[in-house]
Amino acid sequence: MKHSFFKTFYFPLFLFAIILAAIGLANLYSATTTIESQGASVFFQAQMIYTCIGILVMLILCFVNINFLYKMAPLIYVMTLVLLVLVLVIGSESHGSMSWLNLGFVRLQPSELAKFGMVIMLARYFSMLQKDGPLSMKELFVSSIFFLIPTVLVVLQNDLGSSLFYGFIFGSLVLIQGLRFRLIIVGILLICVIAIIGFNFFLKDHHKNRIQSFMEPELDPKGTGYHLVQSKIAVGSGRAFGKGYLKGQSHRLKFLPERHTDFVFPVLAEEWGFVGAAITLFCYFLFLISGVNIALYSETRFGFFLAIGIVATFFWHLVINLGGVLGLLPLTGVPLPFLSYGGSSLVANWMALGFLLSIFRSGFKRY
Amino acid sequence: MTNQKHIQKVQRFKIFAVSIIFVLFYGAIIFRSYQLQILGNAKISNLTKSQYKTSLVQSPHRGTIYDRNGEILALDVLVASVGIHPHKVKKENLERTITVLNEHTKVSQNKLRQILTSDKKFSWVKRRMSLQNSQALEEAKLDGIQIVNEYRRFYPNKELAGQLLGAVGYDAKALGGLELTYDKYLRSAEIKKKVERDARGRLTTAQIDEEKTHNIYLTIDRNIQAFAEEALQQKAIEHKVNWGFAIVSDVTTGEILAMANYPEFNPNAYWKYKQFYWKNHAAIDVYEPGSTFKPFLMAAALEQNIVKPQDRFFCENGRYKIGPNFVNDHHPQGWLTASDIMKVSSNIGMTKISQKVGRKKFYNFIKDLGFGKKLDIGLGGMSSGIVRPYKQWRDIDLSNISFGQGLGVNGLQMMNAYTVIANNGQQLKPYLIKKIISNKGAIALENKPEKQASLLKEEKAKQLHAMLHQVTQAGGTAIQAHVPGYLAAGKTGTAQKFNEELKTYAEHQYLSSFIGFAPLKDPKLLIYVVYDSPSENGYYGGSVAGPVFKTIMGRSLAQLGYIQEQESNENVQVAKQTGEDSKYVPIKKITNNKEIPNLKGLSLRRVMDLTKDLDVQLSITGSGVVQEQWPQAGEELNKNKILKLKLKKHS
Repeated sequence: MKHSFFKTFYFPLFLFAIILAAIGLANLYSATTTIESQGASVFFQAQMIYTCIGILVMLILCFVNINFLYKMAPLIYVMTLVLLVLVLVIGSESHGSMSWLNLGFVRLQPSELAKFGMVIMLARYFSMLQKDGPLSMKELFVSSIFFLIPTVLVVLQNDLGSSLFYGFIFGSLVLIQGLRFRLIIVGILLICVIAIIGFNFFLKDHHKNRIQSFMEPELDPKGTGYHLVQSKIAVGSGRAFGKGYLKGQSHRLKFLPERHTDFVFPVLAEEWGFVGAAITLFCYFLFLISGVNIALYSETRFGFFLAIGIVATFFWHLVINLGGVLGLLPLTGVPLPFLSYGGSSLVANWMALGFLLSIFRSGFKRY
Repeated sequence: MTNQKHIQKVQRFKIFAVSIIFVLFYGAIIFRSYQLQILGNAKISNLTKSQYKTSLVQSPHRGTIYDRNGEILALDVLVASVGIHPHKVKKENLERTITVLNEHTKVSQNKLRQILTSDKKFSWVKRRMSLQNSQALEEAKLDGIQIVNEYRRFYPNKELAGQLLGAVGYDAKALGGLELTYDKYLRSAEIKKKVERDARGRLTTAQIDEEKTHNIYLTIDRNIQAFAEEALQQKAIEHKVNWGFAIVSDVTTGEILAMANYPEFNPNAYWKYKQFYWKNHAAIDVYEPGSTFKPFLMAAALEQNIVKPQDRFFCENGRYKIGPNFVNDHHPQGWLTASDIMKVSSNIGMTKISQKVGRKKFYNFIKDLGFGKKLDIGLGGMSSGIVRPYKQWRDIDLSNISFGQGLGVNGLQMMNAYTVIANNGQQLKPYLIKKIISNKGAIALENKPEKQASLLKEEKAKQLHAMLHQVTQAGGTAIQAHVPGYLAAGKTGTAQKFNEELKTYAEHQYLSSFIGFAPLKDPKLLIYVVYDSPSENGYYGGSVAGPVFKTIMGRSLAQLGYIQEQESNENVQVAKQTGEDSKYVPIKKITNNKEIPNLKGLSLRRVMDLTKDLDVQLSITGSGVVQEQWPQAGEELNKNKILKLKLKKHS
């Protein structure tokens, strides 16, 4: 039985994504405006193009059968790993991490794509278990391998933010699948030990500084605490209703660093105030709820885990980025979905959206 | 295949648990946002206030000072000052910064190193350098360097009227002279403005309010001022004087046309001069005028019909006892007419006249002339001089005052009083400021000739003119003051200086002066020349100050377009001219094309004025005053009606 495209297309998700993308573009336009350069910046123009590419990719992917994706999962996973390895060999450096792959016409950040590669692979693995109970040690070990390979590769790239991320996504999926209480305790202890050892022995100075300055940014507002203090100033000076579009001083006067990428939210909060920030967060909330909805109505276990994995990815991006810029969590270089500038991240986000829509569409195949 | 129900049942709890985490995190972020944005944080909001805004002090600007013809005497020029924030210079850039700064500012490397390694937050490296150099420096794009454009006062004529104009220091602060007196007009208010600055400390281009300043037009004539300074300096050096001044005024209006001082002072480099050089002696110094004061007594005597020019007085053969004191004449005289007393400047003769006039009348007359009173000509820092009440005058004091000793005057009071004589008895308020106009065009102040009391009948004034003319003629004390080509009148003065320490008149210290006016028939210019303590080549007022008067008068009259009837001839037989006003003929407007007058010595301005109603085409080469003309004087204009003039700078 054939269903029209419109009936099988989950509009709410697409709608919220479009709204967020629109907010993101408008905000990026402002964020890349300074007293010296006004008008559409190169970042804004590129983001426009990436948005179009992303939507196109999404539309193609939503027609892909979910079962085909299931079959292709290992290949996709391996391909993203190959890209991660390539970065280590021929990558280019930016902001202290080797996470860029220069393809000549475009610079790719494979760690953004690898997130979803891992999500697809884990979704396939958990769906293959065909059980809802807690994972056995063996199953946990096997799934850990799928998580550790990309994580190690990303750590080698010195991209701490993304590597933490993989852990959060993996943890989310494991908890959804189920885990014995003992193991949860052990896991938490293990994370603590790794964190302490890691902080003392493996972290580089710029990472340590970030964590220390998160604790007390005002100690060195011009040095290590600069990013956070500026972020707080931008957010704080927005007050309830903001300074108005294009009137934010933090970006215009170039005080706010990374204002087009990681610190894009303070620009929004400064110009639109608490009201604007809350509305944007509400849009994200609705967007994520739509994603969870797709998971709940998924026809297959694979679809369920994939949808949960994708929603978790978006969620952790939000939490880590916003927590960071608002001074709740240490700063890690994580983009804010749809708002931060970045082609790889943006296209990957729209791809993920395509997968979600495809999961929804697959539910109609049966009838 | 598993079904939807199954998923719903089993996974619902987990989904719920996850949702709780989800909401918790979300709630935390929203709360944090609320905390930062709505509740606020004093520390953060203080930082916000201070980092985006800074107050910019707009460097004050000064209006321009012009002479009477609109020639610039003082103006502001834009220069750049270079400062540095040493803490903003990175270690690795230190050497480069020093090299580049050294190249463009010429400050020594050692000094730069010292500045750059200091703990100071900010230091000036070089102030008031040219914009060219600062632009080159700006292009080098060094961190920590701040370039501020500001104004610097510039006096294009250097020493010209230096003491009169004063000087301006940093930040447009007036340091003296007219700059200080009229500071409230000239200087724009310091405008503090809140402007935004970016993270690198650069200020955004804020709208700069147009500052309100005024331009001042003086009555000074730049050319006459230059003539006065040149002539004054030449004789000052020749006679090794301590200081000197020359004042030129227009007796028909009361305008001061020049106020020259020696030694010279260049306000462009004011810091090189000690306080003494800043002094505007012409306005500030109070001294005993000496014999130049005699005409006032004579005026009082003539006006009140106490003395007639031909009245005779016995001059006691040079020594006259008054109580315990003696009054002496340099050249002993017997019987002299009042005219001759003036001509030879006999102190005894004047004493006799003063006794006839009496204390009270004499005192009232000199008070009316403005002595002993503050004279406001628009210049600060002037004193009222010293004239004791006549009731305190002893006999010897009356005698002394009759020949200008025993009272204190300043140069401008003398000018003011002589204007009365020169202007046929009509007193005119002297002034220095023609007008003050705001940079928006509004007139803030305007002075016009202001007639005051008439103190002398014209007939009496003319009698006095004739007497004073004799001074410059054969047998007078100032034949050196005879102005070739013009008839002048004047009076010499050689006053003994009172030594404050010894409480007596110094033996060989004189104040040598000459004051006079020309042309005699219809006086235009009044010139007063004073030298303090000439120490070489003579000291008589006639021989020291007289020639200066002659030079300034001759050149100034030519500049103003007063032509000489005959060719200027230094060897005019002075003795042959006996007072007829035949030499001077003011030029009449050319009303017919038939005869061209003698235009030699006239300024172009004057020539244009004379020929403006005329159907004649001027063909001019050179600049300055007319040196040659075709057709010659007295010839007729040719058919093509072209009047060719060759001009040449006067000096």
